[in-house]
Amino acid sequence: MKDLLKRFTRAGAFVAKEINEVRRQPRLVLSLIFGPFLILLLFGIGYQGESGHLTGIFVVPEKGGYSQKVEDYQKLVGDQLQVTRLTTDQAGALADLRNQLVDLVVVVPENIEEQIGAGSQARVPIYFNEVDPVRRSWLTYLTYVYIGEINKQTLAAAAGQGQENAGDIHAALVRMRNSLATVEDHLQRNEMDQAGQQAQGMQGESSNIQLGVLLLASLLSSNSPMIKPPDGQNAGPTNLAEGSNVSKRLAADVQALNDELSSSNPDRERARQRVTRVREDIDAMDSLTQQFQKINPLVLAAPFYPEAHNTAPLSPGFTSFYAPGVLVLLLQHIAITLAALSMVRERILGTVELFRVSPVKPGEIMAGKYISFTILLSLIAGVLLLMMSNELTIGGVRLSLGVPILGDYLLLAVTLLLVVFASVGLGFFISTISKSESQAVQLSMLVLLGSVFFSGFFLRLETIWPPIRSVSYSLPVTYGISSLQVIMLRGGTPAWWLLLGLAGLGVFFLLISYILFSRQFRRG
Amino acid sequence: MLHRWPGTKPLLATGVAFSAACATLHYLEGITTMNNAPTIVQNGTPNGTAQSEAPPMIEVRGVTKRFGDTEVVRDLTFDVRQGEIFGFIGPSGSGKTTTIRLLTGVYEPSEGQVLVMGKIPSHPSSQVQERFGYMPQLFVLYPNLTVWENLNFAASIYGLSPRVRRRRIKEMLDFVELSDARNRVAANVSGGMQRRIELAASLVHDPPLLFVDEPTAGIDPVLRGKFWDEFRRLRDEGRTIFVTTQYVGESEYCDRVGVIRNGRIIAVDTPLGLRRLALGGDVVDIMSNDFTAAAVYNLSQLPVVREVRPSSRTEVRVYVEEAASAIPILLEAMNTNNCSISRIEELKPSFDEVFIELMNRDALATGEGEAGEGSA
Repeated sequence: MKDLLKRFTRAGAFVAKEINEVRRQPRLVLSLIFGPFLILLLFGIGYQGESGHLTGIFVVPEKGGYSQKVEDYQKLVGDQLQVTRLTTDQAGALADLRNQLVDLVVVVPENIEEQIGAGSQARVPIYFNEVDPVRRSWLTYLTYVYIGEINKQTLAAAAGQGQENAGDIHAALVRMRNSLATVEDHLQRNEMDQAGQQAQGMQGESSNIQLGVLLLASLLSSNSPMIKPPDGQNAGPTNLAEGSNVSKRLAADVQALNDELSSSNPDRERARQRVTRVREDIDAMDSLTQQFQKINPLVLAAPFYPEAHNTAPLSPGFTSFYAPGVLVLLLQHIAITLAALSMVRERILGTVELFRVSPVKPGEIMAGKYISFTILLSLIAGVLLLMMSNELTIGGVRLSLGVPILGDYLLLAVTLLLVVFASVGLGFFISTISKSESQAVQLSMLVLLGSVFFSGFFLRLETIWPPIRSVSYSLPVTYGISSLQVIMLRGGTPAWWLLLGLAGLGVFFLLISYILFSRQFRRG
Repeated sequence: MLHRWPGTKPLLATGVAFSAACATLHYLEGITTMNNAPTIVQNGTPNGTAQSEAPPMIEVRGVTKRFGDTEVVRDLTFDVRQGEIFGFIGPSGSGKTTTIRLLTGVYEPSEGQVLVMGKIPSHPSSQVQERFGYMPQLFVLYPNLTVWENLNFAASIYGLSPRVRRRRIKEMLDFVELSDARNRVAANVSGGMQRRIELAASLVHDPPLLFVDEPTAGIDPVLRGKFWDEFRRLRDEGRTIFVTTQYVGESEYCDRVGVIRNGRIIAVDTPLGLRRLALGGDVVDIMSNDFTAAAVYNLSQLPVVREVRPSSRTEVRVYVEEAASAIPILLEAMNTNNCSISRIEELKPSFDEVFIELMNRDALATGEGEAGEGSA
């Protein structure tokens, strides 16, 4: 029992010593707490989350009847790209691009109609001058967006043409309606032969209507039952397939009327029933045609309209989203630096020699330092969280970032403790392989750099090649960021393997550091 | 209970750095070497309270330490008895710190055996480690902690309870006269105060055995004197002190002294014993205007006389076994030879001279020539 008390006393010596040493350095304390907060604050203020507007030049040929107004092209590409000018001088535009005076050069081809007429796609060259791979990908993506927009406009024009064609169908339907009235008159007067001749004339109109509907369907390439009506119109859903069915039914009913009237002994009552069905078909077809004509051509060109719904409990801004990552990254870095420097400093100062001749054991030294750093870092984490999350206002100035914490505070505390535990272990490991303070600092900075790239802080883990991803999972920050994002931003519980991974990593670093430190501590 | 630091004591030592002393080797050129053999002599009774029959606190038997192919200390053999100040003296790089690290268990011997309080220090138990203190050569406490916090840390790593800690720290602060500076940060106190904090830290757990590695290196003579006064007080309380120094003059404050050169012990004795060893006995200078060749010859034939060397026509230097008993015989012999004596006195060469002589003799015996600056 007495021996156990002495062990606690010896470990306690290091707890008090480490805390007092940090306490004696107010600048260090300030930089540990306010440094990270200020970084996050500046990031929150400064990060806009999107690149500025792009500038571009359109090279437009004089021939071909293209618009020569900048506004027309600006309307085509939207706000993202600011069209600075139109030119016919492609070389001059490309020179501006080389000199980075503009971001994009769009070359409108001279012979669009010829290319489309020849059955091939018209190529629209879009040039940019970029070395940044992320921005390069984004610009490439934008070219698809712009071409998609041009294609949409083209399709809309085609749809407009289709609506004009639908006007022809309507005219045919009017003619059929008139013919049907004549047939009815003949039936009324029991003039079966005249009625049959009139019905034969309707059969030709019915074929024309059927052909027109088929053309429309193929032109619009859509059999979709869901076409969003344009704003302000209340046309209801239009079904081109239904139009096709009605036109077929109309043709069949006209054929049946014709067959009835041309039979050797036509039945007047049956013929009237056929006339009624044909009229219903004409009404239905007319209704469909009118609905189709009311549809905005742009809707016909782009019938699908995305309506995104985020089912996450909240949609945080950039500052809130990155705050858990920054917190874990900073905690890891401070823990590693403190632990690594602390042990190396003991060696450089010569106190390790004093420890060797004293009853203190390596395990007691490490335990004391673990406890003291855990206390210090918990304090730092607590203050940082307070400043990040709450509406901390002093003198009317809001000092907090308003980062949400949706999850369980206890779970959050346990996760942060595990991050600290594993990070201090990593720091001790670094100290055992460092000969000097500068070496320890360099290794700590390397870990920080690795953490930024591999932890999922900026780049998603899924984008890293799986064998290299093992580097990610050898860093406490990787588990910490994933866990904290779930707890703080989703209000959930992190996957069990994340917390277990953190604990496992902590135990691994603790053991390996203990073995190495004990070996170094051993007598020479 | 320890005594207060004696702040008003006169200067006791003005030791000269060993290397500097070696540079004055030419001064001794005229002294006849009595014994060139590099015999290791272990002798002497402590001049303090310790008894020669006191049990050894430290036993060193044939200890050699190598780092790779380099032999840093070789075949060390000596004892340190309970209640004595054992000085370990030698030039820089001679192996003093390695020896103290072997004794404290920091290093394990490559050959031979070290026993401290009957235990092998490199396989220590907490019980043994709690019974000795160690004051390293350099300041190894924490500059950002206050004097009190440093002592509290030192006491805690020896497992002292909070109550005992408070009492012992207060005693130690009184002892080293730093009570007023207890709340000052260690980095902001003078070098001398830092050494005193270290001494207090090494004593805070009240150890019966204290290892002190060059405590007086780089500090002013007044403070050096204070340190040695306190070591003697600690010795008088029954503690054993093993102290290394490169200031040869400080050997006279030790009960026994081990002299190390190039990793080998060349002598272990009391300070007086070392002087005799170096000079081949005591030296008596006789001045007379009546010296004759016959008188000098007759003096040399006396049984107590080892050698007579005329310094001038009026002065001879007589080497004897022991000056106190030889002087009456020499007086009588001068009378018998009708030589009136104008002055007769025992020559007491400084310890600088004594150690230079010992170094020189060892250098000659090992075929290295005279021990100059390079060997120091």
